[in-house]
Parts: sequence; C-alpha cells; structure tokens
Amino acid sequence: MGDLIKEALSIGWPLLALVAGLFVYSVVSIKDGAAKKRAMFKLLIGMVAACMLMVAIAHYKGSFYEANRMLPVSLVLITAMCFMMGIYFPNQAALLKIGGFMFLVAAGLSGYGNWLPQVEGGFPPKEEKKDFSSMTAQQLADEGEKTHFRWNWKEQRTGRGRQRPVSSLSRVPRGDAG
Amino acid sequence: MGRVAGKKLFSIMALCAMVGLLLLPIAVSLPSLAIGADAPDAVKKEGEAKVEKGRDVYYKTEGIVVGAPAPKTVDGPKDYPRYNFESRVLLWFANQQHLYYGSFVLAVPIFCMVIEFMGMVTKDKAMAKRYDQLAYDFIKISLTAYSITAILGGILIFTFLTLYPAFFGYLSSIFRPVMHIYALMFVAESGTIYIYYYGWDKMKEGFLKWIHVSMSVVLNVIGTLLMMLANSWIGFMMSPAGVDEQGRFLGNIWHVIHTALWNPLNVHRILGNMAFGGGVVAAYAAYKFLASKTDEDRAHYDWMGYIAMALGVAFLIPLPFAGYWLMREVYAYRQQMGITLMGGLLAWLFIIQATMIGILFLSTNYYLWQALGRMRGAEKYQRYIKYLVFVLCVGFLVFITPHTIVMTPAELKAMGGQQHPVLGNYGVMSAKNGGINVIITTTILSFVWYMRGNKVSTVSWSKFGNIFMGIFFGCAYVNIIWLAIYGYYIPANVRVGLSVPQVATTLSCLFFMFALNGFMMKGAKQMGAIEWGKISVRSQYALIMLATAFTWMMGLMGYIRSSVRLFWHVNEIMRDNSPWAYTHTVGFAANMISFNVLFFWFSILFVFWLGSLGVKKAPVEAKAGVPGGAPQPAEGH
Repeated sequence: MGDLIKEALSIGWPLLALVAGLFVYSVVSIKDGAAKKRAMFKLLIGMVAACMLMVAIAHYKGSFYEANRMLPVSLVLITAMCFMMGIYFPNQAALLKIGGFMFLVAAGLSGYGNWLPQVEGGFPPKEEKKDFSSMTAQQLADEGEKTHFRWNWKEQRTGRGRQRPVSSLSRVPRGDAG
Repeated sequence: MGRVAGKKLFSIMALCAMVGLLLLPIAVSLPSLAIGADAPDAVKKEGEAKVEKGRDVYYKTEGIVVGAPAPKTVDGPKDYPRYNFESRVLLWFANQQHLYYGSFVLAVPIFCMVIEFMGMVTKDKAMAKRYDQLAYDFIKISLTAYSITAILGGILIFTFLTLYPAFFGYLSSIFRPVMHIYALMFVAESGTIYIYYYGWDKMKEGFLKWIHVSMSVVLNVIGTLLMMLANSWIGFMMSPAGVDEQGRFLGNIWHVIHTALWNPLNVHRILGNMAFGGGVVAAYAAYKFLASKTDEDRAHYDWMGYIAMALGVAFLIPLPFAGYWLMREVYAYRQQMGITLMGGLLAWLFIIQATMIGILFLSTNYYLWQALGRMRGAEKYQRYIKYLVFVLCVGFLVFITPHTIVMTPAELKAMGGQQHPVLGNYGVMSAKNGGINVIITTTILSFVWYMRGNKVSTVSWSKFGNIFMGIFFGCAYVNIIWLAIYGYYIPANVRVGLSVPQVATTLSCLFFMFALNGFMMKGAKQMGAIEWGKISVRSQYALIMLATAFTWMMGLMGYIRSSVRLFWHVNEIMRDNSPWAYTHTVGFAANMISFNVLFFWFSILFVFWLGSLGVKKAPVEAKAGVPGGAPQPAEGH
C-alpha cells in the first residue's frame, strides 16, 4: 500500500499541486465567507478525488501486464470518484455519472475476463523441413494430428503450453468453453 | 425563379462533381491495375524462359508470378524496430481507436440518409421538420469524429511503417492499387460529406432536397466501398488468396481482394458498425437528456435516444446470424482455425462474447419496458414483464454457460470431471442456439408491445389478429426449444443444420409479426400521446450500458478475429517472428479492451463537448411546446 501511494504521488504530484494552488488562491481571493466555505469544501472534495484517481492510475499501471484479478479495483475506484464528484459538482453531474457508469461496466467486464481461466498461447514452433517419405505410420499420424489440431490445442491438452498460474486460488486453467 | 434555377444547376453540378470524384480513383488506378495485368505480357516478350508460374493458394489457379515472395523476418531492428514497449500493444491501440471512429463515421451517415428520407416522405410537416433536424444533429456529431478518424488513420499508418516495416511493405506491395483507390476514395468521401453538411440549409426544399438526399446515397456508397477495401486487407491476412505459397503476387488483384472471408466480413462489419453507431448516438442523446434543463430539451433527446436505439437494435438483431455465417466460412476455410476460435485457445473469449450479447439484449428490453412508462394505456403490459424477465434470464444463463466450469481441484474431484452433470448439458451449441433465439424472439415481442403500447386496434379482425399473434409467438418458442432439445439426440453434423429452422423461426417472428402489428395498428385509437421526456433516468443508463457494451464487444471481436492468426502476419504465408508472436491471456486482452473502450469514450465525450460549443440557443418562443405533444428540435442549425 505504501508503495502504491508513493507511486501515485510520483505520477500525480502536479495535479495535487494544482489543487493545492487553487486552495491557496481561494483562501486569498474570496472575501465572502459563505462563498469561501463553499469553495474550500469543493477543493477538499477535489483533493480527495485527485488522490483516488492517482491511486487508481498507479494501481492500473502496476497490474496492467499479467492476468491480475485486482486490476478492476482501479476502475471501481475511478467509478466511486466520478459518482462522488457528480454529487458535489452538479453542473457536470451528468457527464461524471455517465463516465462513472462506463468505468463500472468496464470494471465488471475486465473483472470477468480476469476471473476466467487464463491460458496463454505459447511461442510458435521453429520452422523445419520434414521428410514425410521416410516417416513411419505413427509419425505420419502424429503429424496429421498436429496439422489438424495445431500446436495450441495439443499443448493446452497436454499442459505443455505457456501456462500462467492464474492465482492462489489455483483454478483449473484450461478447457474448452463451447 | 432564376435563383432557384441557379441553385438547381449548382446542385446538379455538385452531384456530378461528386460522382466524378467517385469514379476518379478507378480511372486513376487503371494503370496501376494494368501493371498487374500487363506485366505477364511484358515478361513474355522478354522470353518464355523467364516466365515463372505459381499456383494460387486459395483459388488453385495458375498465374504468372509478378511479385516478390513474402519476406522471412527475423527479430531485430530491421524487421521489428521498437520502443521500450510492446509494439503489438501500440498497434492494437492505434488500430482499435481508428476502427471505433471509422465505424462511427460510416454508420452515422447511413442513419442520416434514412432519417432525412423519412422526413422527406412524411406528410406531417412538423414531423418532417423533426426528422430533418434529427438527421442534421446526427451528421453534426459525426463531422468532428470524421477529422479524428483521418488523424487516427495517419497515426495507424505511421505505427505500421515504424514498428512493422517488413510486414507493411509486403502488404502494400500486394495491395498497391487498392491502397491508392482507398486514399482517393477517402478524398471523395471528405468532399461529399462537407458539401452534404454545409449544403444542408441551402438545399432544404423541393428538388434541391432530393439532390441533397442523393448526395447522402453517394456518400454512403463511398463509405461502404472504403470499408470493403479495408476489409480486403484483413481478409487477406486471415485467408490469403491471389498469391502462391511463397506469398508471390500472381497478377490478379481481384483474387487478392475477394478472399474466402471477405464477403462474410463485409456483412458482419457493416451490421456491427450500424449497431455501434446507433449505440454511440443513443449514448449522446442520453448524455444530453441527463444534462437537459428544460422539458423541451428532455423530450427532444428522449426521442433522439429512442430512434438511435431502435436503429442500432435493428442491426443488432441480424448480427448474430451474420456472425454464424462468418464462423461457418472460417470453418470451411480452415477447420483448425474454427477449432482455435470456438473450442480451443480463444474459446473463453466467446463466453465473454455470449455474455456481452446477452447484456445488449437485456439492456434493450429494459429500455423498452421503461419506455412503456411514457405512454398512457401501456400499463396493461406491465404485469407481463416479469414473465419476459424470467424467459430472458433463462435464455441468457443457458447462452453463457461454458462447456467446462471454472473450479478448484477439490471441486473437480468431487464432481468427477470438468463437466457438471446438469450444467454441462447447457454448454453445447444446441442449447446455446436455443438460448439466443429465445432472447431475440423475446426482444421482438417487447418491441411489438412497445409499438402498440398506447394504441388500441380498430380493425374488425383485431381479436383474430391478437390470437394469431399470440399463437405465432407461442409456436415460435415451442419450435425453438424443441429443436434445441432434439439436437441432443442426433449426430453433430446433422445438429448443425438445426440452427437454420431456429433462425428462420426467429426471423419469421421479426418480419411477419412486425408486419401484422403494423396492419393492425393502422388507424388505431390512441389512448394518449407519447409523453416524450417523461421516462425514467434509469432508462438513459440502459442506453449508456448498450453503447458501452457495443464498444466493448467490438473490441473483443476484433481481438478474436485478429488473434486467430496466431503467429502469422499473413496466415500460412508470412510468419510473425517478433517477440510478441504469442497469444495473450484472456485477462490481459480484457484489460486492454477496457482501456481502449474508456479511451474512446473519453475522446468521443470531448467530441460531443466540441459539438456543443457551436450550438446557438434557439429563441425561447420557438421552443414553446405543447405539453405532451411532439418534441421540438432542441437546437438550431
């Protein structure tokens, strides 16, 4: 978590600095007490939202590669941020809520994709010239099977393909779906 | 009078100029085509000894070799120069964004053409004005998107040239004349769309309006041809033709274009683009609806959202059937390719696809049920909705059930195999065909209910018509489900054929019941006007769901189609020897698709915002609508 926050700060410090600058500007420039209070509150919300966004981006960046079931958490965090901003910034509420909803849908679909068994197709076999005339019947049959089902199919079945550990849940990582 | 004649003359000249532009690429490219055709003759003249013949890998015809063999690439800076990042992912991103925008700008002008034509033939002047305004709103949205499409196309070409020079060099050597035609047609498309947009006000009446609609036809013909030419490249990469086994061009450009998968890809893509375009415009309308401050604006955008959704769904319904055709052709071309797709490495992606299709139909139905709420007299249907929910959910669950289940080793042991004794039965195609056809038929039923929501038929045979309709739908459900069950008792090769009567049943419901409903509702008594704008906010989120799901599904299907080539740039002709010649996991693909989808929506929201900057507010008195009346245009031109 500490690393995540550190990464978030390293990515998003200009944004946080901007919000902090606006904060100072509001304190200095707004004279009316009620207006100042409103501006302060909105900036506080903006600061919280900026932190959430940066943490989400840092998390997304850190888990983009590899099948990571925690990746949709980033998208859910942005969803929460959008809806929170939508409540406190009514002029942009429609846009923020729509954006938040889209992030939620994307989170659901990404989560589903990461939850399913993860099989990665291995690297292609090396190109080689074969002399079929000198092969035995069994060797020819094996070659036929390879041609018919292709390398990926066989490797999945026999477990010789590049197979990633799915997670600590150790789910059965292969099988045909339909 | 003279001014009108001048306008007519100008319009005819503009149309002729556009047709000329349309034909120009063909004329310009003739010498290029001739290179392919004449080159053999030229070679012949030099002497018969130099003529080398090759055999077409697909058409099996003999031809004279006129091209270089496909390069044998090696991993290195010459063939695969790179940044400190996976080149394939960069290309994936550039390609996907270009495709999203391209699909959008190809689909929207087709909507404009249909809606503008509807406005012209409608006798009700107020209605005609509304249609015209709607078509204008649509083209306005697509215009900024058009510029972005062109920019993204440029980015895509630069990405190819800089990251995959060997592959792109080979592809462009094969498709040289096609690429020139493509570029020139793009010029013609640009000219046409700008004349079409900026000439809207000047050509709004009489004969000039017909010229304007004709321009939209020309525009769409060019757009569709552009799409088909681009499809020929991906068709060639998947199922090459017109070259010999070394990848040498044999001089017949038509063979290279007309590959085994070209036509199914064309049909599938055009339907997909239309559904996607409808989804994006519906999301735009939903956004404007949610941001509206007045009832008039809400009424207009509610109506716009409904029209866009209806157009999108009209193309979504035949989309699964076009998908079946494409898959059938894939199997016919290479059986192992079909197995990789639906029973091997990429099979889980099809489970996600099934889920997406289910979500699309569920969202559509939900929107229609919500829309019944803005009609007086539609309450009678509300009590039946729970039954439709049940039927849809059952169909959906069957449709998404995988053949084998995700489980822990302990669960696997307890179950005694990868197939669940009960659920395993729903994972086969027979059950899935039944599931999806039930879902589509139920969606058709929801549409029929919506169309007659606030109406009572006054035709003398209405009672008979209602009974007939009920029996027809009942028989359709029985037939679909019975065929799904029957499929378990017959051999697989016979079972495949059962999808034909199932699809025929669904399409019969679509065409016959829509037609029958139309006849029954002719001159029907209205229980009350449709109160546009008086729809729940939830319905607008259903539209946004629809749009997001369309976008996600496009990304998913594009990935599936592309990754089925596995480690080939051009299937069985040119190998991919880059370090990324393997297929990513489902999870990575899902993350990447989500990223593409969200990036697209961020950028398109920016486009919407840009579009709203140029809007002049209509005078207040012009917007005074009758409560409960037809929605008025919310924005001026």
